[in-house]
Amino acid sequence: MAVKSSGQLSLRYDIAAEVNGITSNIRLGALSNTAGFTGQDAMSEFYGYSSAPFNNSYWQGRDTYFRNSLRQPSGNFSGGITLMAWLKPNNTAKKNTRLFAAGGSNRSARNEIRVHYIASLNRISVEVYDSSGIRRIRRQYPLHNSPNVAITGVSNSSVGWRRSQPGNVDSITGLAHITATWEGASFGGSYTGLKLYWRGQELTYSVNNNTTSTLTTAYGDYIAVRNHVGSGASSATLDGSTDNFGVYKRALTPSEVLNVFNAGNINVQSAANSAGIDVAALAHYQGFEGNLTNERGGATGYTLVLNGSNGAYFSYA
Amino acid sequence: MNYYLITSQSYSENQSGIISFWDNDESNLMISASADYSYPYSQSFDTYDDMQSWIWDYDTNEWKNWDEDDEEDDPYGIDGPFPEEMDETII
Repeated sequence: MAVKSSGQLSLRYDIAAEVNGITSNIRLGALSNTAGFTGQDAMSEFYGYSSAPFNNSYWQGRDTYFRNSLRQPSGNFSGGITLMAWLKPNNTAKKNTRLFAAGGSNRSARNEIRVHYIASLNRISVEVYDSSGIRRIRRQYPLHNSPNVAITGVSNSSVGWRRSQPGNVDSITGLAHITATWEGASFGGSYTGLKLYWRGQELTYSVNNNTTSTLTTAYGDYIAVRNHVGSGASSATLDGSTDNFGVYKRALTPSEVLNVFNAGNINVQSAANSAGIDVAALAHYQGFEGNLTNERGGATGYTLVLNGSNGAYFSYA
Repeated sequence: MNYYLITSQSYSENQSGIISFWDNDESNLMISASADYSYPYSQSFDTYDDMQSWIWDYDTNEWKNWDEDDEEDDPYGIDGPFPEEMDETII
């Protein structure tokens, strides 16, 4: 969280907490040097200062998606999972759109959790598949019905989620923060173990909810953004912008999701740090800062690969 | 770059253009290629948006051939009403 932009500042609780978190031997000169300020030291230099890396670029494309090509065997999410990204549609026609997923195969829906937009119903569907690729748990969230619409801003179901109606988005970068969580097999097969958030706020109204007595586990062998993990590019691959994709090895709590969102459209590790989330829970993050290596990491070691050719990195500036 | 709807047989014979995606049964595919693409095709589109608009035309429902994710079996439609017992659905 950035230092406040006016009023009285505390060297310890405002400035040091933002710069490096030290709690003893705090010196203004050292903090100024760490922050990169030059010249005479002054606390006023820190008004509005943020230690988070500036988010310069994002990916925008059509029929392109990102997925690890080599299976990541250590990515079993038996304790639940969280998937999140900043997204904006660029399609001019209302169309189905795949957002993100994690699963056990890059050729089928085996042990997959997938999140996708259904254009004909103006809903985002969150689904969990079993080891045979059969859908077992599902919640569908109408974006245009109350109370969801007050959060999503996608009010016209005929227009749908598209370039002309991207919904409530970040005022600076123009993207919406969307998060899906699943509590995992230990929670049981109830649909209430699934949650969907838009800009850090939970959408509470869902339909076509499916619960199962067949326990299943989402695997993290493969993760994907802009597509499912179990299939290649389709007409439903996201046509639009993507930034700061993150995968956690557990279901974040509503307050954690909100805190991550409130940290802004910055790389997910920085957002997690700001939200006080243990770094071991962050399986992967990708910042799309001009390439796939500048800003990536996480506890699981995925290497995302670009699939398709129609897209590029763009600058926010 | 233009887009062309071609058969999988045509693509296997000519191997020309960049594949965008396949239809559900992989009998047809969309490719992008230059305006002077000279091999047989079923339909051409000047832009990506033109191609997507043709697929996602809800009057023709062409999209049903290209995306098997859509929930065709939803009995409640876009605005319901949705019965309360639906929350207790067991597969």
